[in-house]
Amino acid sequence: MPLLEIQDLLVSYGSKQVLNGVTLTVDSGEAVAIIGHNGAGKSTFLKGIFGVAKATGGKVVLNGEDITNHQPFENIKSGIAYMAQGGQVFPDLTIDDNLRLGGYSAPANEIDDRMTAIFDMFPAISQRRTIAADALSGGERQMLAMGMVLMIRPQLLLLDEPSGALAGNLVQQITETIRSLVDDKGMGVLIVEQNVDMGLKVADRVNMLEHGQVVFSGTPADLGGEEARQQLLGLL
Amino acid sequence: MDYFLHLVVLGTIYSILAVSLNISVGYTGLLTLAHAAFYGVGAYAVGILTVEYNVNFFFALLLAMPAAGVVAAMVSPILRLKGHFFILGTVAVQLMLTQVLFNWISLTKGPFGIPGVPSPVIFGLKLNTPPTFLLLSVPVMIIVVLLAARLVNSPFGRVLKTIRANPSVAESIGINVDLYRLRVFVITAMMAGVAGGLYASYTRYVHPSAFDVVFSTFILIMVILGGTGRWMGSVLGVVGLITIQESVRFIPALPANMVGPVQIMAYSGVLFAVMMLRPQGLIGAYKLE
Repeated sequence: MPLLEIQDLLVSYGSKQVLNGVTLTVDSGEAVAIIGHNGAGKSTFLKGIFGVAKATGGKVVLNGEDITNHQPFENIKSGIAYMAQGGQVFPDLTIDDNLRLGGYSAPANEIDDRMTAIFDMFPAISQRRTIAADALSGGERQMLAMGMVLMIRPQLLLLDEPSGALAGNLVQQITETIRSLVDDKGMGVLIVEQNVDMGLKVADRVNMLEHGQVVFSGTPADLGGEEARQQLLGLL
Repeated sequence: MDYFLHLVVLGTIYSILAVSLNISVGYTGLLTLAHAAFYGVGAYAVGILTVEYNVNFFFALLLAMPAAGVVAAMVSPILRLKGHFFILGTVAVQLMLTQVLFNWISLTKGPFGIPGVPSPVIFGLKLNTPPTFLLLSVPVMIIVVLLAARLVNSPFGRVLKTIRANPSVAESIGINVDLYRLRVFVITAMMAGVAGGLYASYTRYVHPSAFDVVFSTFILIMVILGGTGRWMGSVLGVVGLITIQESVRFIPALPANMVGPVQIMAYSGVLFAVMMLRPQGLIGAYKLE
């Protein structure tokens, strides 16, 4: 049984149909990337799974349980975490406070241990625990945003453009972190990426979205040689 | 001296209103223009219970809280509206409830209002003058303000601040944003209900026009002037606005019939000036956006 199973998911904003029946699965210990043009429906897809956008049709099934249109707080209890685009944090609060809030749904006696684990994962922010998030660089902010959702210790992690506008070395670090979550912790990761190169590096499987539909599904290797890959990169 | 003490009594009642509205606007980010409606529900609850049913004032004041809370819960579907639409929704609620007060004549006496609301009596002392009424309104205000301060500094209050700061992130860390908004909407309406109950027994008369959208705006201006996100700012806002209101009376050669309109123009001017020059108010925690 897959960890996450999406069947013909439909999402619309008013009269505008954004997702036209997306079907895919994610297993535990697997990273699945969604790539596509701007406006293809990638972010809406994650929002539809997490309950931020209302699904008008289709099903979202987690561990065999239908969770379609469950509220975000219910989905977190079920083991899903969602990191929105742009490294969203509470800018006025310190790194420590942001992480503590990230553990809002976690048992109180586990918060400190979980924070220690996050600081081990992202040493760059561990040096600046008492700094307000507002003062962080883009990369540090992104690490903090990811740390906050990891405080939940999810089974399934939904990431919306974790590499957004980051420098090459930071993208590499984020890629390695995601792979370690998948390989070492057995987490399922569904990642939306505008940075196709990163998406292909991090994912076990890739889905390409066009006009709210999956137009390609396979492994990065299925995309063929470097020429085909460059063609795809050129398309996006 | 009595007139000054009358202003102090009004100040204590307005402080309850402003502090409660600040929890909604300043701490949770729910900018509402329906607070006067819940204030009115509390006032009418005390007016009707004491005049029509001879209920003891203090018991009626206790019942004013759930009355306002129940009405807030009934109109709470507006909480599904976001941003500007929510503000417009609260205006609709305010207008609707004012019309209910004007037109449900069998219950509210409509445009005639309810006269003869009895003054509270404590240990045989009738609280029917400003100095005696202060014996009630000051302790009630202190209790409400302390409760509000405790609330906003509790874990519950910290959750409210995260909702105000970024509702999307609050949602993504597992906070049931809708539930917290509902709780705040109901709790602050109950606080406004207490203020309304005090007002009814102080003025001994309730009339729908005292609880209209203009008064809701007046309360909001107090909160904005004092500063959002700090309960002490609301009390300062009340003092500031009452001072401005009363200063108008001393404008030389201003005809008596122009005092009211000029006061409203003064409030509007204050709102405009604060928004332009000091959007965080006198001691606010952040700029209202």
